[in-house]
Amino acid sequence: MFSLKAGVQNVFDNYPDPGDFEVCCGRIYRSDSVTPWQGALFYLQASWSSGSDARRH
Amino acid sequence: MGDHPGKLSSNLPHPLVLLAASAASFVALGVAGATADNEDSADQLVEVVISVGTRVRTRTTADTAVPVDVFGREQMESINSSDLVEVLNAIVPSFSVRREPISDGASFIRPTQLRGLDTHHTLVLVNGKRWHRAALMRLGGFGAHGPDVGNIPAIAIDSVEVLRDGAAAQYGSDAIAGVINFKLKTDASGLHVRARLGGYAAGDGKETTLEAGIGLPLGAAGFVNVGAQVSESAPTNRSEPYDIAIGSSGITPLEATRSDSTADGITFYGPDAFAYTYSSNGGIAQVLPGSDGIPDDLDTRFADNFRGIGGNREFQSPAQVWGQPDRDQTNVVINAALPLAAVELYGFATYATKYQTGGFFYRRPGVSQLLPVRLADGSIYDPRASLYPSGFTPQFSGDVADYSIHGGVRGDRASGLSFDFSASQGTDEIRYRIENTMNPSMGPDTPTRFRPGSLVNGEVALNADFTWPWQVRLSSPVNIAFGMEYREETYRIESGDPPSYQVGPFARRDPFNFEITQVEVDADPNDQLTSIECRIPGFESVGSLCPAGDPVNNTVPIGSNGFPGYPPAFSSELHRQSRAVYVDLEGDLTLRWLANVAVRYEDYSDFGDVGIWKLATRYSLTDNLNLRASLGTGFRAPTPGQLATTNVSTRIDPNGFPRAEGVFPSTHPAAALFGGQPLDPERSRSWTLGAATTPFERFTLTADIYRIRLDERIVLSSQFAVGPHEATELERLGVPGANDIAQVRFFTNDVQTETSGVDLVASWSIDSSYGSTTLNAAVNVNRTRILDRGRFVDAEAEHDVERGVPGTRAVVTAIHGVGRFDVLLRARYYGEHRNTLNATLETVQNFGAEVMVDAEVTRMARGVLAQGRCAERLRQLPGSR
Repeated sequence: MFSLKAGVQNVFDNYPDPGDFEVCCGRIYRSDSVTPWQGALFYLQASWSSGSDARRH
Repeated sequence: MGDHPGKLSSNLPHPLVLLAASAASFVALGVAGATADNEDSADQLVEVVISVGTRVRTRTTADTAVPVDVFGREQMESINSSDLVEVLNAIVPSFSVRREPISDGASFIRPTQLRGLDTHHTLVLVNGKRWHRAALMRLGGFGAHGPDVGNIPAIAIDSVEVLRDGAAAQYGSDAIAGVINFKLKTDASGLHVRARLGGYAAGDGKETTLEAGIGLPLGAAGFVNVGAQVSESAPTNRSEPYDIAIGSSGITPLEATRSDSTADGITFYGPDAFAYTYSSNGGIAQVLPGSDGIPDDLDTRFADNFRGIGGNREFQSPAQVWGQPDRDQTNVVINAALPLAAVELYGFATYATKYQTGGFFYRRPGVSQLLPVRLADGSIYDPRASLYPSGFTPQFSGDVADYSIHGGVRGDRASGLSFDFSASQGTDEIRYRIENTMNPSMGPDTPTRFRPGSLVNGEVALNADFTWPWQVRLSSPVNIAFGMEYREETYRIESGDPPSYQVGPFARRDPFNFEITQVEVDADPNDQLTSIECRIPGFESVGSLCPAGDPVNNTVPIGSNGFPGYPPAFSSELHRQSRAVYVDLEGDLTLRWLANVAVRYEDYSDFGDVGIWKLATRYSLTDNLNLRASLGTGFRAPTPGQLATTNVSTRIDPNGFPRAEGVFPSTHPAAALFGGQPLDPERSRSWTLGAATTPFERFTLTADIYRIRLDERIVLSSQFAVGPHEATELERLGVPGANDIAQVRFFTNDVQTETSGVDLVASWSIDSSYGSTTLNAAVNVNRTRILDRGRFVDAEAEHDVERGVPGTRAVVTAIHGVGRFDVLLRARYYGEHRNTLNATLETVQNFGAEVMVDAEVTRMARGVLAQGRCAERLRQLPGSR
């Protein structure tokens, strides 16, 4: 079976608050935060699997 | 942060009230009466057989005594990342991971957390077998040393089980926050190929991934399943142009920006857009707005004052990059099983390589690494003139090689006894490379590429596990599980190539003794040194010392700058053996009441023995309401890496100067100077209390509260400043580069913490004439408090541990299927958190909550019946109870 997938992670291109301090040297976001700070991600995926759809992957 | 202690308790009544209310008003699918018949359950609710947190092989998510989430293939595929860590981060709210650039190896093997505890507090299993740790130790925060699940390819995985409960009494060391079990695919047929392409809206970070999986029959009833993945992901850049106040000049780029450099509405910053003129002694004579020499810089109105800023490489703007590293990765997994007459042979092997590169801090021309020195012939060598005219940004790479092999034999005897004998070996190695840098102490002889050393973590385990159904007069047999384990752990630090750690002549002032000082004159009245003198060839002023600003006075740092190599003196190998035995009883005391008792004893070659226990129980209040609770102790042995690690790295001080920071084993003399002692195991006490309900068909809700107390928690100490007295002592102890070490840190059993929180998971599926919809929501509220800290952790670390991560995380997912299309919408919530500047806690920044929304559309080539699809998806959704 063939399938195509298109998606966006973080559709609104949301970034965390910029750090007010400890942000020298070009740093904007606190990289020790678990909040992602890479912005929106677009992707496409093509997938093909043989056989029946009984256990669709 | 709004996540004050009161919030936790004020949250509690709602789910419980809701549970009670819903339990009273609905009679639907029997939770307690769930059978182990997983294959037929597609039309019912998720009754996935789980293999973690219980030794009963037929236990399902519906009737377990402990909270287990199961994530299936489709859930994992809905996150576009070739990095499994990223996938878990998006779908498991109690799991989180950080992205830490310019952080030595932690940029490459990312620190993960479950329930707010460290990487090493979560045990990772593959097919129920302990998975080895990565070689890399994280040396930021409290320090961490755990497995790198990024080495497992997603296509090989059938499902992921996340046990959100301490289980050290069942699995041994590390299972304090929980257990993550990756179940590999067992298909004996089928081919699956997948190609993915992704990139960030910012225009970078392009990622391509090719995956393939194949299932083949083995013998009459066995299988071989192979999954492989190749991926490339380009670096990202989320920096603004480099801008740092430069103390020595009196002019900062920022001031220049404000005063005179804004033209045409364009603002110029630091080395990325400024031209510096340096005086011969390294000070800044002039800062002018101008182009930086970056080839792709749009602003070319000013002539490039420096050629090739950033050093001798093709430069990517800006001078210093904060973002994801460049990564090339190959992962392969083979999983196989072969049933024979009386037994089944089984095994799996994993292999992964990962090449990653990222930049370090930019070194501007005024820093100490680039000071001019005088060579033996008296001439001046100035690296700014010949090597890095515009400063340099070291490029740091970590090459990971990771493999493991596991094999065993299992079977059932007529008596009902089941056995499983297995052996496993896993190794993870990270080899560092650093390029576009220098060993300043070597002067003109420095190479620009180094191999600063490698770290290797190896583990071997032998297991014998048995289960036997004890026929007693209860409502079901009592499952008696018992077994033993032998483990060997090795941690090795391999030294770098000699130039990476070599102490060159220019580490010392006046290495060729051009200057005769009064001390030398006085030392021996009979030698030829009779008057103070500056004997630099061609220097005329006999009878005086060399001028204060002369390069003869300069000293420059040692080792490959950015990441000095491990010298042979710091390369070491640490071995440890441990043995464990356990007994784990589980059975239904009545039709409604399940109880579980586990005890485990472990004996370690290096620090002695530990005994731990766990009690867990589930009571079915009604057919659709289960209450569950667990209580137990746990422990975590200090990892061989934590015992052995020695690392000296460079950080930038507030004035923009790199300073070396040393992490030493706690028993090393440098650590002992500040009170370091041999490490003991951490000990935990934890409880969980929860409820699972199915108030109406196709809707499940679970709520669990938990508290984990960790005593003697091993943390990386705060930094201790090395004063002149300590530096002298370090030099006497023969620590190379003792004079460059500004700070000393070491691991220490210094903190007592209490982590408490709430997990809520709900899932609901609806079929209608518009298609089939499944909704899933998971919320994790988590808070760690430091109950007690010794003298090795300061108030800043305490604040950031307690407040520095979002206290609330949530993921809400909706999938709607109609015709050939599946539409997925997901919202991820990251709660607010704080950060403080220093131990005075006077400056605190509050970071607001963020919501990230994901959307995805899938088009199937052939229409699939919505009904069947919904059922399949239900099975794939978190089967959490």
